[in-house]
Amino acid sequence: MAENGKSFLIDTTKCTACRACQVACKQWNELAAEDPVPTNRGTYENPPDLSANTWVLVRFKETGLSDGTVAWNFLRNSCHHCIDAPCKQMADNSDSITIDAQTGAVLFGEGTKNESFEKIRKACPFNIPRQGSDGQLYKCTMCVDRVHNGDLPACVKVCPVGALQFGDRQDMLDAAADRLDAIRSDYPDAAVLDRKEVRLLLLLGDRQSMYATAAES
Amino acid sequence: MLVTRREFLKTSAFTAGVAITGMGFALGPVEAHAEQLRKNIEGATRTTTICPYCGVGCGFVVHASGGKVINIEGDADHPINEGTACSKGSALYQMAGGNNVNRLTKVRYRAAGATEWEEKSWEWVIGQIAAKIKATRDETFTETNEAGKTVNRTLGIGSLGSAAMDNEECWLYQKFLRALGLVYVEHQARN
Amino acid sequence: MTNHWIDIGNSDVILIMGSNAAENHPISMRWVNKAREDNGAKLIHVDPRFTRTSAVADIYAPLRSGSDIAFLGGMLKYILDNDLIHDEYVKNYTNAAFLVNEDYEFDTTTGLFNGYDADSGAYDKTAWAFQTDEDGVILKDETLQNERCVYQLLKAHYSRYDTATVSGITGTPEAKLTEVYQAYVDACYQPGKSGTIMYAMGWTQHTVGAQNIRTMAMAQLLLGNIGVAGGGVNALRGEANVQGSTDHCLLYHILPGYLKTPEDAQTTLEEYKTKWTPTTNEPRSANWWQHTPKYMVSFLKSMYGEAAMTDNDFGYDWLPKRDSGANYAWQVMFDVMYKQEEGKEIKGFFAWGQNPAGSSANTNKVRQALGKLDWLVCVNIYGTETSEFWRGPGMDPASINTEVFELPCAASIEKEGSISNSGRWAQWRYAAIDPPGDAKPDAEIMDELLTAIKALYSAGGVFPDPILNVKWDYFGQTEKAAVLLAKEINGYHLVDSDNGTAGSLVTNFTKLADDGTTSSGNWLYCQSYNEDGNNMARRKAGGTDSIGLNPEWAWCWPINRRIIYNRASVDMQGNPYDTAHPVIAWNGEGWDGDVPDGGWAPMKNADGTDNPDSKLPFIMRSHGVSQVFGPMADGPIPEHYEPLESPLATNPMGHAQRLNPAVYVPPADEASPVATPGGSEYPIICSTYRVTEHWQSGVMTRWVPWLNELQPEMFVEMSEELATQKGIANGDRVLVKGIRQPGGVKAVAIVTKRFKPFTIQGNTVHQVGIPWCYGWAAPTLDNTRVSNANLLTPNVGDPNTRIPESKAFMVDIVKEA
Repeated sequence: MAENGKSFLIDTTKCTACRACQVACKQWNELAAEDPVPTNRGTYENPPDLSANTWVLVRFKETGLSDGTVAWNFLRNSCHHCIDAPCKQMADNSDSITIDAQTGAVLFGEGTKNESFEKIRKACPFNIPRQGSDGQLYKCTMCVDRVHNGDLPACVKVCPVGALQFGDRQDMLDAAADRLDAIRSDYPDAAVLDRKEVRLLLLLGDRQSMYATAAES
Repeated sequence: MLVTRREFLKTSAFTAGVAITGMGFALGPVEAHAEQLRKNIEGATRTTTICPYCGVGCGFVVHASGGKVINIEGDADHPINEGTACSKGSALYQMAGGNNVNRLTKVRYRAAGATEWEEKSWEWVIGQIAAKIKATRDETFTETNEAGKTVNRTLGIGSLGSAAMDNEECWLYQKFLRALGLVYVEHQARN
Repeated sequence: MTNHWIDIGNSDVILIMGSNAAENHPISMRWVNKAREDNGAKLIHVDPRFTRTSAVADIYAPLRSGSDIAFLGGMLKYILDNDLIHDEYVKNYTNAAFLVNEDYEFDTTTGLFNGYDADSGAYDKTAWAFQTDEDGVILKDETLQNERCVYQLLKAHYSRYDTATVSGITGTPEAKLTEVYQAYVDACYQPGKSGTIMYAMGWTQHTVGAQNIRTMAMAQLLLGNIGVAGGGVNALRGEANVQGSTDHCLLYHILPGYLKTPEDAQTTLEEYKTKWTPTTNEPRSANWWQHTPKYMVSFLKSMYGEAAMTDNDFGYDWLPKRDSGANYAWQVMFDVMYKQEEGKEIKGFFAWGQNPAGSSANTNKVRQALGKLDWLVCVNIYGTETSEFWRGPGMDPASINTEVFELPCAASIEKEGSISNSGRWAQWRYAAIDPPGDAKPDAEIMDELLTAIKALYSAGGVFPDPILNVKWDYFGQTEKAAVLLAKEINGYHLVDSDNGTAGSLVTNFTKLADDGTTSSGNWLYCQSYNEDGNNMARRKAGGTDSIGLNPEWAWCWPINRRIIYNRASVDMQGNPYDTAHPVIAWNGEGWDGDVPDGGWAPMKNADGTDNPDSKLPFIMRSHGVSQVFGPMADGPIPEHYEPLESPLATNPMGHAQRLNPAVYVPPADEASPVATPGGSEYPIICSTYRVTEHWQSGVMTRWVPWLNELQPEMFVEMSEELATQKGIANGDRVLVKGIRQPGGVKAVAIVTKRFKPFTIQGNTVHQVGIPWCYGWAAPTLDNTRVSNANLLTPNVGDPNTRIPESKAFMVDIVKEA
């Protein structure tokens, strides 16, 4: 794989949940809005879940702190592009889920129509795959079409506050380490999750329980 | 020729040496780089624009083909947003004519007491509105007020509009209204 | 903004108050982050509600909506008590040293300044004049010790704003007040340090809106923060061209370039000039508005072309005149429209790119008022609550005789022209595609209308002169109409002169004349389009400066000056206070850097002697300096008053004046009742606001599926404590009731830790918040969806601006049956 492939770095300490990433993903990938239109469920978070048409979802969680103040944390939910993707291992056909040679992106092809959705979904440690009405499974593609042409994934290019970065994997690992050092005094609980296993490096400023995960939602 | 985004990516060979020209301005290096992705697409144009939502003034590049917008992204050469956007700016594609079935595309008229709209032509509606403006203005125009001073105005017509117009349109709009003698001229700044 | 978006990155500390910048101006946070990373700037957010801005702030402080002057009054006290002022700046660039006449006083018992007339409910501003010598020059005490000098009067006024008093009004814990005051002031009071304020409608939409901003402007001046990089008073404009449309003055009281609209009392152009051209006795005041006659005559030449001649006062009589002192603002217009019998007074109305039936305060009243028109013209890219008003909630179409014309117009990417952002940058944009279907650019619609009207008046009509003589020659020409209009706004030389040949574009506003030899539609935009090209279309980013001025990207008024009042960023000899972020610097012969506020040499010569030929830096003020004491409609120094509707029946400052005494409350009518202050029926404070995913009344976003799915319906945010008290669970359907909408507005409850009850005067007070981007006309037409926030808001306004008090009013909440 060229230069060990690519990775995202998500810096939650900078995210303002403007959700440009969520819309930019739909724009570039020509994904329709959810139909019917979702309701408000007592939260800003919407649509309620990932779907065949929603590959990136920003999840919101507020936590009361011991000093009476509150933290409101935002976590981007999307494919983590595992290095050894369990979804691929679980697939019955070798060509339905492929790994992009240049980037390391985990890609769902038309062949996923012939896979067991439940099996693939359960294999995913992050509960990401969703099935379309055509039977195919869908999720983030790392915008490999853009990346192959030297451009950034749509979600990364659009991020106004520098919460999303993308690049060669080692550069992202280094950037994550540098950022952790820089914020350590302000964020004593900061950590980068699963850095060895996935290509979506999540840098959390607070302890993990203060972020909404797909499993909770 | 109508080009979809997927098609232009499929056909875009990443080769150098093609001059970047456009609407009379030179694209900067960052956007030119992205532009190379699209350069082989016959009929695909790109123009720069400024976001119509808030007052930050972010730049965007609009890619169009066959009279249809096929992609809108942040203008990487714009010094304020540097290619980025918020959720509203990211959704500009869905504002473009042809990409949103909710856009108004016909002149509509609702008669007094009517329960539905009727579609009308521009010719009809311009004649109707012009006649109503003249009738109202002629009926309500005041050359001299109660104090005996010249005022040359009508208080019979009011107007709200608009921070959604271009500067040139704002200038023309106030000219239009003040030529008619309106004093009730207001807009979003008062809200 | 005095400064601009990129300049926020130069700040040493950032206060966001009266704004939720991360949600409503998301890209601003890019530059906030730059200041944090480059300068170690702290981000402080003060807001009734913990928002997405608070989530990334270093310090969040809550305050009760409507108590900003108390909060900031405490900051002024902290600055003044500890003498944390930029001494040289305050003494030389503000009126702190001016002596105020002996009559001036603020009565802490009545709560009134001197000069108040109870019958008219207005102040006589001349009661607050300065002391002068026999030549009319203002007396000053540059030691700031004289008890009548502004500095001492401020100190006395704000001595009452101790943290205990402030906390009792704002509900902010005292320790948090001190933390904010220290974090902001201590980081930026020293010369060379800067702090910026980012505010928006959270400050303007109050009965004390202008004074909210004035309080912070005073702090910024005392700290030496105006004119410098990373400083300023920065209004975050909410609409793409609300700056430009205000510069072009689509408002009853001003003409393009902020020239006053003529009143009936000014019967001739000469009388107009005399009335509106300020004079000064201050020896080194540039008094830039002395050029008013040049700008007015050039405007008239652009209005009427060759028909504007010396012997007809350049068509001055053709301009409509307002009655002296009368008000024709938005609020008044709808009040007149509502109260009239059908078709009696205001018969016709344009809602051009606006949705007042969703965005105006008290939309029930607006909708009723629209039904009294003979005809209504709506121009928009989508259907609106205004164009559909006749079938809105509670309306019976059969009984509404208003004829409605709905005209489809072009969206921004379907036409060419410029818009001006919040930082005053006029940026050109191009048409990517044609408008859909029969839609047309607004300018073409105006042209067709005016052409038809002109034809009608050619055959006769009342006072046809302004219609027949208005200059209107932009369409069907070789050059695009947008280009011709932009050139006319810039202005032309009309005769050959040393400055240019007849027909050439004027270089900038210093070349405009008052004798009819130049035209300029808007003097502030003179230089935007020159002979060498359209400056607004320039695309060269970067530059040689270190502070991100981007002087060759687009164009900025005035005269491409990116930071206004920038001559206050340098010391008496022209050296920048902040050498790391110089805006301008005197090089011995001229100024380097940004376009200076006038090219005069520094205030002092190199040898330290005064330079009598220099000018003071605040050139738009007649005294040449900024006003820490200034005559507003409601007083020269801000004082805390309660909102029209509030949980308090009296003013907690301990005086008799509960409400801003200069506020105009429209005569009561059945559509405009007001909740009793301190009453039990509506005990909860409510504020309206926007969200990232929608825009304004929602017309341009509710119809956009990708945005509507992010925030699909009306909600109300409330504390867990209030929800418990009301038996409401998160996600419940509730009604937000108010005295103007007793049946309530339907909303989904968001029960959150981000709202907390306030302790005000020892009592628990709850506040809730609702977005104003929803209605019943989109994305589906459903007149049972009573979800518009402005059904609840009062149409009472600030006495200076008439902007409504949408940020503080009273409601109750019940679970929907």
